Amino acid sequence: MAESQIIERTETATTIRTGGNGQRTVLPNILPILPIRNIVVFPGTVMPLNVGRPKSKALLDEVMPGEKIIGVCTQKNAEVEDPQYPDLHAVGVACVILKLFKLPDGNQSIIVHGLARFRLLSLEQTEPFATGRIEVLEDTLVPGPSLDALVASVRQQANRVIELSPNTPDEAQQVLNSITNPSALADFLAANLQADTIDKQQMLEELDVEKRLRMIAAKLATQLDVLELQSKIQSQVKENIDKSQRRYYLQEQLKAIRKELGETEAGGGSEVDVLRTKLEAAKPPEVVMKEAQRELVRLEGIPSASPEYGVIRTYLQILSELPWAVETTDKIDLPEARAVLDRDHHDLDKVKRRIIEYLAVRKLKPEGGGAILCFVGPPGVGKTSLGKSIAEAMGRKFIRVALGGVRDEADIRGHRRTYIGSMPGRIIAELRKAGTRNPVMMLDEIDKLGADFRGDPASALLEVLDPAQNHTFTDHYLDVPFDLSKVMFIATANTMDTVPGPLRDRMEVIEIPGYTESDKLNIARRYLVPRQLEANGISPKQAKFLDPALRWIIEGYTREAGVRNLERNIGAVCRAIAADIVGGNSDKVTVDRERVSKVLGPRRFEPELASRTSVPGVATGLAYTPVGGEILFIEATRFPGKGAITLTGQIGDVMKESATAAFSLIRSRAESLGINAKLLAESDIHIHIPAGAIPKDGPSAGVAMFTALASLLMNRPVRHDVAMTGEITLRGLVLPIGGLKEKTLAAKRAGIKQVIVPKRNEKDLPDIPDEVKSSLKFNFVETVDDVLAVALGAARKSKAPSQHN
Amino acid sequence: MSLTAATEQPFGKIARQANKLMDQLQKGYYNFYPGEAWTPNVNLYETETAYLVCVDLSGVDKSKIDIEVRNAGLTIRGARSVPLHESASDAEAGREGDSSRKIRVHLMEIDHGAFAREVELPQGVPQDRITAAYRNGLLWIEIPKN
Repeated sequence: MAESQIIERTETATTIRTGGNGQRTVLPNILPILPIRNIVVFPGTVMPLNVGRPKSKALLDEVMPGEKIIGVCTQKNAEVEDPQYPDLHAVGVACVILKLFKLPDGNQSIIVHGLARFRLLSLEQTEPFATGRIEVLEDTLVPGPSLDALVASVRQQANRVIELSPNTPDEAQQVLNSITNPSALADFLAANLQADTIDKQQMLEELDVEKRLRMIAAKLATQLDVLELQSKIQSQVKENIDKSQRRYYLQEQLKAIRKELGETEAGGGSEVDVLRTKLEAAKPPEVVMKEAQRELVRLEGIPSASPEYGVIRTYLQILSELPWAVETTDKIDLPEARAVLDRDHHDLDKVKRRIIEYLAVRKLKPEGGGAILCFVGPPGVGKTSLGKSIAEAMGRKFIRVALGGVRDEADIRGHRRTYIGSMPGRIIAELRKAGTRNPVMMLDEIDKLGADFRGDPASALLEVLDPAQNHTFTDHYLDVPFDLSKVMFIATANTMDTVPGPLRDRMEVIEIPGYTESDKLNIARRYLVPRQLEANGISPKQAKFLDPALRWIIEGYTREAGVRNLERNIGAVCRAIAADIVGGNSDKVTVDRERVSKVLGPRRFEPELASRTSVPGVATGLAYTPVGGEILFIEATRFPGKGAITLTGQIGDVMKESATAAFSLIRSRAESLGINAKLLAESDIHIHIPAGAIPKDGPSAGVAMFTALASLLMNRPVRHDVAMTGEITLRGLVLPIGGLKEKTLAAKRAGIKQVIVPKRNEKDLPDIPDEVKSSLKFNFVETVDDVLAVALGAARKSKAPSQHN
Repeated sequence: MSLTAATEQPFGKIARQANKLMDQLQKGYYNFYPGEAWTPNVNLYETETAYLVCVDLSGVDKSKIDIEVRNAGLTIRGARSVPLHESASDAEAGREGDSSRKIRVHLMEIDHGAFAREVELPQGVPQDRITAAYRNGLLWIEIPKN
């Protein structure tokens, strides 16, 4: 059912029915025509029209009052003042005038109610106003499911548009949903759509309701897109505003609550104030204070919930806790210092002397820079505990920084503050913990620093350890300089080989060699036994260690440069004593050799020289390792072949070259040594250095390898109680080596009676403990011939070259 | 029984619908009246014994008012022609001949044309006992309570 229905057409008038209650209206076929601009009236809608032109006013005068019907036509061009027939769109709407207002500017405004579409056939008159002949038009409407679907979809779209448009009155939706007639729906929406006049006129002219609805649907869709985008943007904006308003509101509340609680008024300011007071109390240098002030100002401006706040606060806290001006007073009393050092450590005279010297210098020149000492020695000789004693002797705090395995530069110098969770480096962190700027800082295991793609911590340490630079040490995290010059650095290392040159250069290296047996006995008596008794809850009266028992442990159960295993074995004995005492077996125990054997089992280390070297082709070398001296067996054997040489036993390049040199030397001297050249040419030689799992390197086994080869090829065993060390040259000279003390100590431990040592090492003799000197015979040699003379003994005289063949 | 109680509204939605025209037009919204062009204003009273509906229908010819009771709804329909002074009515009649008595309209705010107004009735009112009277331009409809 169309909304307006034509009931009857006559010559002069058309009768239509409108509305739900079937009201009849008679439309004359000639109507006064009101031209309008920029607006299109649709049937059923109520629209305001401005009336300004004289002709329009004349028209109003004519039709009003009364309920005369007028025809409203939209002009094609809004600028035409006096439109003629061609200037008007041919389809218009018949309207009744509902109201008339006077506008403040003197113009009149009418409100019209559209009734029905008409086609303007012609203009009948143009003065004083236009009238025209019309033909009332009727919609074409084909009911069906597709129309129903279209109506539903348009209605849904329109509802959505109304929801999203902020200005549409509430009843619009109500009206929209109450309109059931598709044509009416289309007209209502067409009137309210945001569209150009041209588009609207097209909608008016479209008599096919379905087509009209499609046009409207298209318009609605674009409008909906725009509105949805707008609404999205608006809700985003609103959300942001809501959030910041919420935060502001809560912060204000928090302030009010703080005020009520009697806390300082200025919100987060109290924390800033605390930090500022702390910082001022720390008395940092001016540069640092300036930086800190800047950060403080930033902190005040940031809400405390911001992540940045935490970062800055932590930074300032660390700044304020650093010992910028805190120092312990050095107690420089040389005799007392010496007493402390002697109390804690046996012997180590050289080291103690150096420390006393350092203290003496400090006494004369208190503002002097810090010394950087480096203790090098095998494990267990007491390097770390020596550092502690030094700190105690000087009355300073002791900090230990373990560098073993550190391979990230940031561990030394910190991370930049840009990184989340960044921290200062170990140096700064430990100083903060110590709370003083002049502690003794022990950089433990400096030789075990790593380096990888993340950086080289050793290089970072260069700055720390340079007395000329470290007063402006800048940690990445702090980003301000900290004065490290008051710190006394002590590094420890097992070997200097892996310490980079520049780093080694900055330190004063003090070697702490391994202990002799008598040293160990002394240490055991004075330190280890009392300590272990104490640790196991045994009073000194309850147990007594006899010297032979201790010596037995040292010889039979340990083979080391330090005393760590010794202490462990003494500890094992002590535990057994504790068990005996608690078990009620005895209340006073004397520890002798049998008791040790009972507790520790059979001896673990035996002199094995005699059996090893009783065949030709085996020589005993002396090696220097990071854990002290060692004896080393060189084995050589020969089998038919073509004169090739094989080397095994995990040996490094230097040692390989050294073996090749020894072999070449043998071949070049075959004649004089009485070796059959043919035998050499038809034999392959294999040199092996046992304990194949342990890497070995260095040139100092040259002499031993030469001796082993000579012994093999001359078929004469090396004397079993002789050990040797020295580098060889192709001219047969024996060059000096390092670590003589450790090597000879190892030789003595192993039960060697004679050592062959390069002549040029004679100068090291004063360093060798008397104990060693008295039990070893030193043979200083210059050439390999001297070596053979000692190693192979008197039998060398026999010069029968081919007797073994 | 009170009308103010939100939970029991005997007349249902009684929101005033008329004269929002200007508001709507200012918002750029064009209302849609399929048939009736206006809605008369209504007062609603309650006494001990009855509900009284007063409809502002001044100037409406009593014979053109149509009251319909259907289900729970009371519908008032009718039409109001543009009110004219007697002299103007004469002029209307003899306009052709006497142009000196012609009138010019400067304001026309009073609603005219077809109107309809629906009022929801409380449940269980005896529909056969509803009475209506037209006095001084007001239509009084009395709905007795049980």
